[in-house]
Amino acid sequence: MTTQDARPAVISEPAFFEQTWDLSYRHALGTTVGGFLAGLRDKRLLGRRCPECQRVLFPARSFCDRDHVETTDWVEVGHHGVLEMFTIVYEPFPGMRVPPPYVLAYARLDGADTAVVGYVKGLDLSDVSAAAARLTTGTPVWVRFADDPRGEVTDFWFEVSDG
Amino acid sequence: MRAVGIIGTGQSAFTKSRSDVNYPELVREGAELALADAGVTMADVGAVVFPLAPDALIGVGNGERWCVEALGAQGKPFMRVNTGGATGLTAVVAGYVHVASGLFDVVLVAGADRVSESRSAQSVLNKMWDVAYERPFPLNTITMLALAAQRYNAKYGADERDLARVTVKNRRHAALNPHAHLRTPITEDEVLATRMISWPLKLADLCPSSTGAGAVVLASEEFARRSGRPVAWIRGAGQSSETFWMGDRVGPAALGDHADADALGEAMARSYRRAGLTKPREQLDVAELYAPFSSVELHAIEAAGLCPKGESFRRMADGEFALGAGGPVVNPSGGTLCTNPIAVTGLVRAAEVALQVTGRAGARQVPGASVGVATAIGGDHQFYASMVLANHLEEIA
Amino acid sequence: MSTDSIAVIGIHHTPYQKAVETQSLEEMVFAAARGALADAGLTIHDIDAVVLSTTDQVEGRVIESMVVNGAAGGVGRDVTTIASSGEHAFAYAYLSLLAGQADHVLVAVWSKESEGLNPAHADWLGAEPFLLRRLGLTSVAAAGLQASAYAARYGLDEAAVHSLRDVRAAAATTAGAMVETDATGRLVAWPLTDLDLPRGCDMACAAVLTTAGRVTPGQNPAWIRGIGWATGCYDLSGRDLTGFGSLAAAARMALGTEVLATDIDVLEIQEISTIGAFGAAEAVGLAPPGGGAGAALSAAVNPSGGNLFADPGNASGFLRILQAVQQVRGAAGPVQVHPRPRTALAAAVHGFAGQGAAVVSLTADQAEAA
Repeated sequence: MTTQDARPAVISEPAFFEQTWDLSYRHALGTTVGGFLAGLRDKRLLGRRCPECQRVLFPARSFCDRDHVETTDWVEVGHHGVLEMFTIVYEPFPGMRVPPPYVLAYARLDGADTAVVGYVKGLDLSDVSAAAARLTTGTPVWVRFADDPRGEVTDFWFEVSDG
Repeated sequence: MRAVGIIGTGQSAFTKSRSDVNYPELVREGAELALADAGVTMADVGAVVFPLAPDALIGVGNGERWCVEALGAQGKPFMRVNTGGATGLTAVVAGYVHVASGLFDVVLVAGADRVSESRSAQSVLNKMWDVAYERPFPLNTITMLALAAQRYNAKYGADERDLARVTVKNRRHAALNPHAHLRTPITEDEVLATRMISWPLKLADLCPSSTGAGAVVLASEEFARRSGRPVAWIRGAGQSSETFWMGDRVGPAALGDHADADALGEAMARSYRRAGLTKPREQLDVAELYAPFSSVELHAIEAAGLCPKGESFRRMADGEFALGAGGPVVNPSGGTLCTNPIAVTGLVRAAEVALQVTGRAGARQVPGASVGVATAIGGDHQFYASMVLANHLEEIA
Repeated sequence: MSTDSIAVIGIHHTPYQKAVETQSLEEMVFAAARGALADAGLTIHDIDAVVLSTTDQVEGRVIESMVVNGAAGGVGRDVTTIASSGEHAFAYAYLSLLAGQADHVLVAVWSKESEGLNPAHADWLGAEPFLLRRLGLTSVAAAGLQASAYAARYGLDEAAVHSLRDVRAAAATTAGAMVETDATGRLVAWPLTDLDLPRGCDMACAAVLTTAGRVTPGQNPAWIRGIGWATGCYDLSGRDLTGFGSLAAAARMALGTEVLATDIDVLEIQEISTIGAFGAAEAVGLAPPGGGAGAALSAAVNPSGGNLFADPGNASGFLRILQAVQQVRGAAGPVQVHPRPRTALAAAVHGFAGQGAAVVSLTADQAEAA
């Protein structure tokens, strides 16, 4: 057999291998996050206070990453707050649950020292400039709950206060 | 303290995808270029540091292990760094630490990325977020930075045109850089006309998904001087990290605002202190500041101390920070905005500064560049690396 | 660079448990970090650098360091993540201190395999996709290949295998390091049964290192004499599977030419299988090729019981280091060797059939430190 015979047939197209990673997980949440989610079922918004910096971390977390100590007291926060930052998403990202356009925002609720992420609903998004003007940093927002909360963070969302 | 320098660099011509080579072969490409540039072979290399960000983007768990033979690294000390987007520069810092420790004289830092091979990159990146509190929302790298951009604009009075100006400047620079991915010049109006992705960020405000390899060779002072190669001395490296929680970066109790990049400033300050650099605006000739989106470059410039907070976009409108203007040039390579092979983007920042201070940056050369800084950012604006390089070891005047 | 010696001044790991369901990953890492700091008599405010080691696919977090950084005390600090193995994170902390890049380094390494519903699938994704993944190469298959290569050359000593299981089981029981299993002796990857392979468990570990000039009275340091690490060919056919070449290279680098493994009082060696234990003992220098069974069974090796009965994945090698540290500190509790060892060695391996390895040589005697 000559060397000529050992060469492969001429390849005209690049070669590929396709695979989807098929991994499933069941993440342990711990009692603090578990407690927060249980609170949602009662339409309660619960944070935890750090005994050193005194911040009320919301949603509740079991330790403060600034002081590296466990949080202690549960603190209930209000259903009203202020918009800290937002974006209006127009691009449909593969694998994302909600069809665009939608508003993602962080709001800092009364009694909390940290802001929480959520959707802002009830806005007309057809005119992006007008919508953005309604939502600027500092805009007051209300928290609204689903009628039948399931103990998930999507049980609540934000709406812009009138006036 | 033992001085350490970069004596060789290598970069692919970055592009959307490469179907002519598999991942290890691509890694080899960058390594070969850097080794040749340094005038060394693998026999001279004492250890290897491998930058590789999320495994999911290249589709092989611990993909660094697969690349050992392609690098000719079998039998050598070998470790891999993963700090998200900062990976490439953290790996160069790690290479610096390897040599500065005294245990190794020559270290190779080499890697590659092929972001577009993952057809669901943003879905992968959704898995960065907290399982209970954030995964249920469509958070990804684009929405997280759109939030920061909105907040910055509101805080300082910038608008979408100010963001567009960053893209215009960087594309002009990238046109002069044969390694860059997006090299087509663009106007402000053309940027503003691209489709809205996540307000206020439009398509042309965002980096591409790039494929390619990058590598650098680091050496001790003694080896570097003996090599006869031009040396970019590492004068100081610093890193810092920010809280993971974006919601903690707003409000009166925040330590740093999500509109700003204070933790980047801290990392840079650490590198400046170690380098003895006291006046960045006067002493830096070039700054390769990691900024995958136009908005990020604005607060990165401020974090670097090149101007006060809230001033960068006004000065950019006046033409500052561009090739040809006086003062420090920001991203003469076109930056991450024009080329983003995630695992090695941070390494390319260091390689570009090394080329600049050794006068080998071709058409994108900042004339007379002597001192520069490279930065990188990883996670949700969480992990920061900064490295000051100079073509001399004297006090930085 | 620092001419100071480097010491481990505090360690902690969470309890041996197959599956931790009541704590999140972050809470486990927080506990490990707090424990190591307490052991060193320090708080996080004394730390200026953190080194993490992550395994995204095991716990199901992309860029895992993001969510864990706060738990490890990284906020505001210099954080590097070494994702190739936990033992590499330890080596990097050592380099950082030598380079003068940090003063007090906290290293955090963990494994929470129980969060993955198909951890074997995640392991399988470490195989390159074009050939090895289609053939089903996994860590278990690779361990089987290694064991069969060893048996083919040196014979299969069933009695030695059973003795090793018994010796390790007895030590692990004393240590409280025996997690439950449903193994029955079923053949899994010839010649290995499910009783010959490590049992996975969840664990978070942490250690604090510093330089000699910063050690304070009462910290009870374990001094590092040397560290070595090396990675071999990915392709199994590029290596001699009857031995662990990377482990041998790492041991040579850590020990240098003057220290013999046979002179070291205690060795904690990571074992990829019962038969793998023999080759590992040979690789660190305890016996000639083929003669490792006797060495692996000696009282000096794996007094903790090793990793066969409780193996925390990416933290398994790092845990060997912590076990060796505790021996020279006299803090190994129920498995403490008496008299207290003056020297110890930790050997860790990672990748298919031990593609890579790291070795840490420790001493209680500062004068012997590097």
